[in-house]
Amino acid sequence: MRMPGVLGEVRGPLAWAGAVTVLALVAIAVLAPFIAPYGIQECRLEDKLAPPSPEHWFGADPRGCDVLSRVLLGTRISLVVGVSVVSVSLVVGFVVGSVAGYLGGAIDRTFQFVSDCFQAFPGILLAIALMALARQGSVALVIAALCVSGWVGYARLVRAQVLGLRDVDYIVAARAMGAGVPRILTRHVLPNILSPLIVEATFGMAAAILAEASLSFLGLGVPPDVPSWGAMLNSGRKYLLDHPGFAIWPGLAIMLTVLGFNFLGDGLRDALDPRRAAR
Amino acid sequence: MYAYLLRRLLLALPVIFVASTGVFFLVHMIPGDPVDFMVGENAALDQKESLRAQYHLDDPLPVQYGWFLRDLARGDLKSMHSGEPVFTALKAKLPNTLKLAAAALGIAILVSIPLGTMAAWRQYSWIDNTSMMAALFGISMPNFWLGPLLILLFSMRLGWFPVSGADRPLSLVLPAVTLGLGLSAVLTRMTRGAVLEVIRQDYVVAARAKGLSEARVLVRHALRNAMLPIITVLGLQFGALLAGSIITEEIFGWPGIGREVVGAIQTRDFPMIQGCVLLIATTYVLVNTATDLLYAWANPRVRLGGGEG
Repeated sequence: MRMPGVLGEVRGPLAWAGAVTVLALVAIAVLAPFIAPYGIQECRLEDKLAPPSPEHWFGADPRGCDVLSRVLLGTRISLVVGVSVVSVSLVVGFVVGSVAGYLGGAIDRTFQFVSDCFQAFPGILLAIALMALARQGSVALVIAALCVSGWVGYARLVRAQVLGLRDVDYIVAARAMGAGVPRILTRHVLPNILSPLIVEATFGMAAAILAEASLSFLGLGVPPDVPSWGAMLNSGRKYLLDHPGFAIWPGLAIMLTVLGFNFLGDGLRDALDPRRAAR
Repeated sequence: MYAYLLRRLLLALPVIFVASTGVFFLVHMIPGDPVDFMVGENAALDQKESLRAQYHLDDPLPVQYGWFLRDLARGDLKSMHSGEPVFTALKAKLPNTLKLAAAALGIAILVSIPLGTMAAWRQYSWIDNTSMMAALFGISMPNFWLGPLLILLFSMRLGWFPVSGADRPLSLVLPAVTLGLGLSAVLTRMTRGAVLEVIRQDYVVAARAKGLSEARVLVRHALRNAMLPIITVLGLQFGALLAGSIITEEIFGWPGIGREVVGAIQTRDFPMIQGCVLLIATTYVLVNTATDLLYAWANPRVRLGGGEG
């Protein structure tokens, strides 16, 4: 069976499991307001800490909010953060990495120094500090905080790829025909480095979703009323012994989502890199 | 070799300096008066002003940076909260973080090298499929979920390990497993890939043709040559280990650098944040340099000082 675009490259049961999981997550994110039994603000104090029942399948949290509804609605936050962080980081990473790799010289040396500085400490530490900048977190701020160091990995990847392409015949030919740098990078370089970028972006989705959940887990992510899996897990920790479901369900949601993207990334990598697939 | 080491360390200095300078300006832009965190918002105005003067908080940012550099050079950075010298506090916490990281690394190596090697040796067998599947689950499992699950099972239900703290030897087990499992997963995959890469090489075929036992071929010829990429990944994963320790220390109340830095950011303890970042950046850069040296030691073909090295 052949499918168009990236999905056409998905082969193998695990890769398909990943693709199906990701598609299911997108469907849940889109349909969440319609399929969630309760709305975001629809919390009833009299239901607080209710055990699982036909009314609340996963129980209700200490504020009386339905856990299932919040887990379903949390899909939106995770995917929005993941897609936004990966898109912005990818664009910035491509521009910076391709210019550094293509032009070389002082620009490349400066890029390497800057990326070394960014990579001198874990990105999450920088994101924690940036989130502390704000008195009140927001989804946009989480995205911005994760992008600040998120672009560096893509830029390094693009730079390495461009270094290998800089002097191949078709690039030399394009240059000889008078094509400018932006045209060469977007028309001739980009299509030829798309495969590793797609694979990296798929793993990047998993990493961004985990990072958002980590920030929310530390209480430095999205505002408390926004349903985020990390924040739910954090508040569920206090009730671990008597109501383990509060921590287990959002944790399971994070794991399945990350697993889906990792399966898909693995499958795409095998399909797009024949050397690996041959192993 | 020594010239290379010296060059690497000299190159690392500006990276550490610029990274910590960047963090200095970043954290000083954080709104919220650190003095409020020290004495409370309702404290007397003159008390607040004297504290602000003591820590030069009313000076322009570049001047504050000058004070910071002076204190740093004198080894005189002091926590705004406890008044304790920052480096004394960090010296007390660093062994805990190193202990946790070393234990996690030990668990990861013990799990991943045998498992990854077996998976490659018996490619496409049940052991290969199962370990690769488990590795993907391991990579996808957030440590802030695994940690609470381990606490629920082994501390609360079975009572085998303490829930938090670092006062008993057993306290190390759950945080180390939490931190080590994700790393094991990454390393298992890497080991499998690296061993697969070498087991089809001529020298492995030759070793087998000489009549050496499978175990000897595997350990002396295949695994030894596969160690190069594994060492590199170990070095690269050190960053992930540090990042993971921030969350793991928070979950288990483990008194290390990760917990210290999160606490310092939340209370705007500027000197403490700077001290932590400086320490983390230095450790990070030193580990990267050590990885390169180890790589060169393990592979005489790597020409030190040549190419991009």
